[in-house]
Amino acid sequence: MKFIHIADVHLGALPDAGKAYSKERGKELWETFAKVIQICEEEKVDFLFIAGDFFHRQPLKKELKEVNYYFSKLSQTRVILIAGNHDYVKSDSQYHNFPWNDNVYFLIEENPKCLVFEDVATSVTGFSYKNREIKEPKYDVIVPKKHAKYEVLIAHGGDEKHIPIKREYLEKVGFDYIALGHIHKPQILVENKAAYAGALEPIDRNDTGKHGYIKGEITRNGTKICFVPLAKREYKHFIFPIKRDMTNASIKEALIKIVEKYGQQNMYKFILRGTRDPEIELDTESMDVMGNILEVVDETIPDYDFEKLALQNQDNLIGAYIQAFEGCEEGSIEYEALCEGVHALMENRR
Amino acid sequence: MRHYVKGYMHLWRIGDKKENMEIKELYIKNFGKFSEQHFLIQEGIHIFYGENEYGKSTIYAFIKAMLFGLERARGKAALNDEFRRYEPWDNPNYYAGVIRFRCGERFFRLERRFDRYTKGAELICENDGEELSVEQGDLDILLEGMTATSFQNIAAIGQLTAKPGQSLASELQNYAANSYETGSNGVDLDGTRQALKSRKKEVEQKIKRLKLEREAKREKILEKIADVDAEIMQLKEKIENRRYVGSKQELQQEEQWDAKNIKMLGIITFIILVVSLLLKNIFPALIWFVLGGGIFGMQIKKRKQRNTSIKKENEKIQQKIQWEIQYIKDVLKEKEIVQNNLREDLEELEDIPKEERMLKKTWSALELSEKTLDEASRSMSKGFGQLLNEKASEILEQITDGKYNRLFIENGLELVVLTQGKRIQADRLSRGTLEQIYFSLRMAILDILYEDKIPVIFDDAFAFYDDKRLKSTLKWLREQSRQVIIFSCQKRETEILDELEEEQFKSEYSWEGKALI
Repeated sequence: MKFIHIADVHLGALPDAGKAYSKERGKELWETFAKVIQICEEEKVDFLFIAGDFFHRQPLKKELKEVNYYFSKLSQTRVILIAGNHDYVKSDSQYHNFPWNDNVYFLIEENPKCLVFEDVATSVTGFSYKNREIKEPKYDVIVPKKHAKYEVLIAHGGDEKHIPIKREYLEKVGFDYIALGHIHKPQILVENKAAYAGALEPIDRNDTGKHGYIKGEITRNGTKICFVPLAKREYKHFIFPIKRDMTNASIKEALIKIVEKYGQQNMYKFILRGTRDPEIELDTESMDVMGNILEVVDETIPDYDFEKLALQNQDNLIGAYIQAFEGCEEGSIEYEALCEGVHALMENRR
Repeated sequence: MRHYVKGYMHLWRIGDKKENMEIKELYIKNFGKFSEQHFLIQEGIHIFYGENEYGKSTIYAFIKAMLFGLERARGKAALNDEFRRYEPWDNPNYYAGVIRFRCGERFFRLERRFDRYTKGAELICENDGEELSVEQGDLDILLEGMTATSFQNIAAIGQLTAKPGQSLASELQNYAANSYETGSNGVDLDGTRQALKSRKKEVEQKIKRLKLEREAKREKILEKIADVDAEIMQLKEKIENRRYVGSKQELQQEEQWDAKNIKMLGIITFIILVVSLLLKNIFPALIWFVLGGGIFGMQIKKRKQRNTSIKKENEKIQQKIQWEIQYIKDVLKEKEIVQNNLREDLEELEDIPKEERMLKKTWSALELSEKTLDEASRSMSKGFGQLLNEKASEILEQITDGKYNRLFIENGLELVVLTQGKRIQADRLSRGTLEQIYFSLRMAILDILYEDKIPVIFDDAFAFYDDKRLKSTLKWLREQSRQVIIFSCQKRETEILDELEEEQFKSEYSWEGKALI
């Protein structure tokens, strides 16, 4: 039995993708989803599991029609989907009574339901969110019922407010595969047995790293899964070490080089760290040259030796000022006030 | 090269314990225009006399570079820094010198090389040959923690100069006021305040911009919600309208029994019955009953048929309207979902983004910075300011032969001197007097911060003094235990010092003479 497992597609979301790409980003989510459909068809997989948060918010009927059209193109693949905390099944949700294609199985109930597909000797268990939050560990009681040879669980959540799941449960429960959704970072939790597919395309600017889908096969010899990157863009965070001799222009040039090296299609965040020349003020806003740098965070510390400065200026205002902040911790408001004040004082030395 | 160097002994020197620092010799190996040049510095007051272009500022720069090193500026600033300015004219890769000085009872030899290849410094105590480490801060200890900038600000005294568009008096006033609040006058307090203020403004503007951006996003969503609201209203109206039209369009069914017709039939039947009764013949009535019944039956049937077709027609119309209403309802539902989704977007927008929170923190830090700066300067002017007032007044009184016996700062800004109990504001004083007040302040600061341990250097500082005042000033300087180095392009200082020495010699001689008699 071959399957593809995706999750957290968040259709309808408009992710922040920087000046250059934000406008088209919403469409790209649909495009990558369409690619998954194409891959399912080409590879003739038996199942496409969608582990929740298929939509970013409540789906519109026309959107359901749209995805149903894509599903209808699958000649070999059955689609099994559940609703997550984002597209939870509200009382007036369009999910109710939607006329899905024959090959689409929406597990709309809030109680676990087990579908058995005898032709492929597989059963699939799952349920949908009816509310935005579910705090009970609802998966803890679900066990494979031995209705079929291969048994799959589709699950969504895993954090405190969204059905907590214990790792032990995943390890011991006995499903041949547990297709998880909700956490955006793709990760295999139990070797070949349980995995978050992660968001198909990164949605939040903190969804760093590769994104895509999980491809798997269950045979007599057990389950084999692997992660396949597919996302068009990637959020990349870099800690950029600042040295004393760097200027705004040299930093900007270095950032451009990094962006060129790691792909212009990606979206970047840079954290500037280290000690900078106290006389240079970093102009983080001017550094987004290509429109794909979302954020440049300045965490640098001006290269002052406060102790030495205080000693050298014992009898003047600089010394008195530094004295007033004695013992303050790095990162505190006091420390920032110390840096700002000393900077202003040093700039105004005679 | 024409120059004239002469040293004058301090009065205090005889029999006094030496605790101060004194420069003994400058050996310029290769620096600026000088190479292989020795200058022995006299004890007490040492005068470098030379005409313009002689190289006085080079010697001053050499002293500074020897004591504190010569750091290269970075980037564009390097094109015009001191390193560049004093790079030797000949053989720039040999860029070095030696300074010999005394600290207390110990003599030191400090050699430095400035060129980038052999850059380095060696400090040796000549008394015992001990090698000290400049890198480890041994020199800093000898120099009492003084830095190149504080040396320049405190120990080197030039003429009082005003910024363009500012009078000397107000410049002096600023200098004095700032000294009171900042101690050694190393920083411009007003400038610092301004810098913090403008930084705060900058942060405020950034916060404002972020807020506006957020507000704009909110507005946009609200606008969309309003649009959808309007659409929803319209759709609801449309549904009502369809319902109303539906009720109107329903065709009236004909009544099965038409009262008028029944009446007519009744009347005809009654007349025929009466006629039959009158004629005593049942035949017409019989015929009427057959005929009338037939007509009546036909009528009813026809009517029935017509009513069923109307009913069908009505059902069709109603069905169509119901379909229309259902379609509108579907659209309405989509719109309602869109609206709810937009509301969720709006809720998410309420979270203040990290960037804004960070800026707010910076803003608070700047507030704190301003407050702390005020506090520090206030405590500074209380302690240091008062001391400065007293010292400077003392010095001023001595160098003006008692004419001005008090100087103070009023309201933290206005500089006032007292002469014979009269208050005079700074802007009404002559340039010479302003220079002397400046001198008093400078010497007082030097005294307070470094006592007499550091030499003082005057660079053409006395050009505006008249002979009488210059004499009292030099006389005062002679009485100090501090080493004094004077750069001058006039011979006046030398002449006056000669005069002073002669006077002293005379007084001593006559005293001795008297004793001999």
